[in-house]
Amino acid sequence: MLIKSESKPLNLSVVSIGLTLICWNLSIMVSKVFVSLWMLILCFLFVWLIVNFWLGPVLSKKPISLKLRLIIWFGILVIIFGSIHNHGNRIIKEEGFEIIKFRAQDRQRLENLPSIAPATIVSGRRQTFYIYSPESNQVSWQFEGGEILPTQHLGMGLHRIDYDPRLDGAANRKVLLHLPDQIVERELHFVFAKAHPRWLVSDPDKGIAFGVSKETDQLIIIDRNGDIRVVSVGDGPSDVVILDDTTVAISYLYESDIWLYDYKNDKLLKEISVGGFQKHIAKHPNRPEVAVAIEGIEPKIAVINTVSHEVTQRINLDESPEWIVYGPKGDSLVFSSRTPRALYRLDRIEEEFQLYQKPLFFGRPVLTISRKPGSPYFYVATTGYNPSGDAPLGNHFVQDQLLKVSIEKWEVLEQMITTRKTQQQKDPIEVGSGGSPMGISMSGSNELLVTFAGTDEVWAIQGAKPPRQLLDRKTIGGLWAPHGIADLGNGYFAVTSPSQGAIGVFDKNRNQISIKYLALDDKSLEKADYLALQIRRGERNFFETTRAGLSCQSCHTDGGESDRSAHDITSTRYKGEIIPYTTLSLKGIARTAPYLRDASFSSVADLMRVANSRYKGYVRKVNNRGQDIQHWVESLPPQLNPYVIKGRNLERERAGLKAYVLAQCDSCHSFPAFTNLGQHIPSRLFPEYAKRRNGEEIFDTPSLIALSSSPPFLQDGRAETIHSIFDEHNADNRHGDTKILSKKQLLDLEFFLESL
Amino acid sequence: MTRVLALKIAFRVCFTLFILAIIYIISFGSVEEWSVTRNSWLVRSVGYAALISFALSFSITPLNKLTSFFGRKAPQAILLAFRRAFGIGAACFAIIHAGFVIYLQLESNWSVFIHLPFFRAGLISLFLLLVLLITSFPAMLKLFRVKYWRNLHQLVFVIGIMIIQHVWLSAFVPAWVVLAMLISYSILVLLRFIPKVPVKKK
Repeated sequence: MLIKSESKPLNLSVVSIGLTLICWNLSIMVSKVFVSLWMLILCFLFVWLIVNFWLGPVLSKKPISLKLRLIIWFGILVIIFGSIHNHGNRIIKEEGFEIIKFRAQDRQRLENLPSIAPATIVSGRRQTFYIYSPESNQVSWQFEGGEILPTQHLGMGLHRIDYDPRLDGAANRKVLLHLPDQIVERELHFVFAKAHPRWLVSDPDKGIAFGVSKETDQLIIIDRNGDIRVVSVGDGPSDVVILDDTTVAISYLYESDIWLYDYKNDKLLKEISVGGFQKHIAKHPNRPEVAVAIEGIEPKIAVINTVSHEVTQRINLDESPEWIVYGPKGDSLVFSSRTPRALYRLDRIEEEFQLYQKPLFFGRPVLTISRKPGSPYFYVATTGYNPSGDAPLGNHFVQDQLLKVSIEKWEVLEQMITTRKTQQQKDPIEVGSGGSPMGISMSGSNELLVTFAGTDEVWAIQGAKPPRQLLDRKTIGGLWAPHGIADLGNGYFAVTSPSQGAIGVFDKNRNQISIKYLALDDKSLEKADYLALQIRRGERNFFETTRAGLSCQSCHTDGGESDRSAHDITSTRYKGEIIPYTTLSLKGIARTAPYLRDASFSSVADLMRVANSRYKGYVRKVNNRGQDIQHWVESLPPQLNPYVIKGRNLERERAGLKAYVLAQCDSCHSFPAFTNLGQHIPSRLFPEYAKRRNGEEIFDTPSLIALSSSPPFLQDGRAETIHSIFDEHNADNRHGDTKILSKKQLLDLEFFLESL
Repeated sequence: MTRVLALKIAFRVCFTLFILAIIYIISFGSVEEWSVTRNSWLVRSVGYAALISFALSFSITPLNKLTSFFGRKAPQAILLAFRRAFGIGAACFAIIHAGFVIYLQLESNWSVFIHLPFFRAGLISLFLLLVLLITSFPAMLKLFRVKYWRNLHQLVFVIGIMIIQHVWLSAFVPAWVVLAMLISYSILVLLRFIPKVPVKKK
């Protein structure tokens, strides 16, 4: 095309665009606040006024040469590209365009009916899936190449399958949904489960230690000589204790029984029924007796005689017990609970355990407990201590520490802050050692052995002396993010690394005498299953402490669960009072962007900008840290509902679903993910609460799958129970039309939510 | 057809549609018993009406170009009259939409317009639509001594993007609707680059 070289007046639109960008860039030089679309538009209007009243009449009468026009156009192009290069990313983030992209992908997946939630399937684990197919009353489920399995129709097009790999066959990423008139293929995020050895128990005299891997249903037997043996046991082993020279007792998450197991002859001796969701188990120091902490619908502690195989007492509790230890003579039991975040003591009175009235409140949950039978005191690790029980509400407050608790005096004797400064610090307030104490073992010589998952260390602490660093990042021999530690006697000890799926045995000179990988090592994994390697790296990164002394796991404790604690992460105040957020569980959040309670992050990887800025980054430099953490988080399936073990009440669930739809809960908590991934302003739902938030936030609609496993509820955790969400915190009847429900319907609704 | 007649027809048709839409929205909304659904229906349906009006107004110029590209002469006067009428309709619906949001949902929570991109995009779109509304009448152009209204009305491209952003960030709009909007907007913008082909007189 020929360009006529005649003189012409400048195009006023082009002039306006150029001047607008110049004006905008000048304003940005004054303040970064003006890096926004509204300022750009204001600049345009300002420029248009200049053009309309002054420049337009002048320029339209003044023809200029083609050469000059080309120079001006080129200049404007430079300004356009320069502005995009300098401010494009910020505009994308500020205006929510990034969230738009990720949310659209995830929404599209859920809106492509029939759709499935949650999006992740892990091999070898029981899981519940919801399928939404509004046109069908009957849907069958089939993994590619597997059997056709029926689903339960709950009503309103919502179907459910409680998938059990042992009965239903192996899982894979392709699912065929058989509808009455067609077969539809859907993809899931398939994760192959790897062994995760965590906490250990040991008998130093015999030089033996035990651990379990709930992901791969294995019992691990570790010998002082460095021999490490693995045997297959029941579904989801959660803990193990040593009973005698040949027998251990194993507790289970997904079995109703505990096992008495002969580890010498690899023989199951006895199954004793106590109920599912057993969290931890403790052995009486003298008697043939164990106590099991059982979470779930009816939390309790079961006391079992291991000789008569009888359950001698079931202690029903209001709190869900987690860790459990016997007192020095076995006449008391101590258990920790996450809600409230406290330790409780039960005293044996006339052979019956009764609750000692005064709990020891911590403010943050107990991460781990030392378990030396017969010891008059024990140690706990936690991320913050506030004796009043209220969550410590300093901004991003995390203070890793060990507390020494006397069972008899029932008080905290000592507090030891573990996070320390190192010579690698780049800033006066940085820390680089003692991050995330994860495993505690009291050795025979009353020396405390502690693993630090955040800083890849092992310490030995003797009384009030300064701690001795037994192992550090260089000498730990690849046992990254160590969890469990066991004293094997004679100065030998064993360390586990769940993320690596490895166990190492060290001698008294701290030399690693053996290491056993229960899964492939990194090099083999890189070739065989790169995603698995990314997940593994992500898990390690998740536990790694930032230079500011906190890590992802500081709040998302117990492998991505919620610490059920309030945190000040925004510094929002109402009448001087901090408005906190409670931690959400990370389990099952794959493909539900955006993230966090206020939908402020488009992806999990995006959170790295907080870690790298506010938390001052990490000592260890790695590539793709955020992406790897995202891979790991996306590999976590939701917590299994206790009703899967106890037995479903389909009739009541169907009634609950009817109430759910009647109250129009499904308009935001839509099927099948029980969220439409939408965001709302607080005033639309909770006018009173909105006044306290000064309109500065937005609610992300959370998924309700596995709701009952992460109390307290609502944005700031003000509802302690599902019942109180409607009873106390829906006075304006905007968070669901629950006022039209009868009492029975409301109870059915609560039951339905509990059963998700 | 004369320009004045075309304007009259377009005004009457669009005004009738506007009134019918408002009657439909209010009558259907009043059936809802639960205040949240009722308010939500009012807000969203008026918002959709504004969106449709804007889309119709925005698509007239490229369609006009497309018809001329294929050698057909479109009735210019009536098309331009409808473009203006739909644009005015979009601004009017947007005002009502904003009124409903403020009255029924915001509860004096004004800071959302500063903090939340969803509301900010809506507010900017409304503001720009109002600017275009005011400058859509010859009397106003005279009053404000506006000479270069065409340059100002190029803000429709910005409004289009802001509306897509506003809709995309909203809680309830299905992904396919927003995707369709984005594709339509892109096509309509690209169609504007079709060179004008002079229609030969027979």
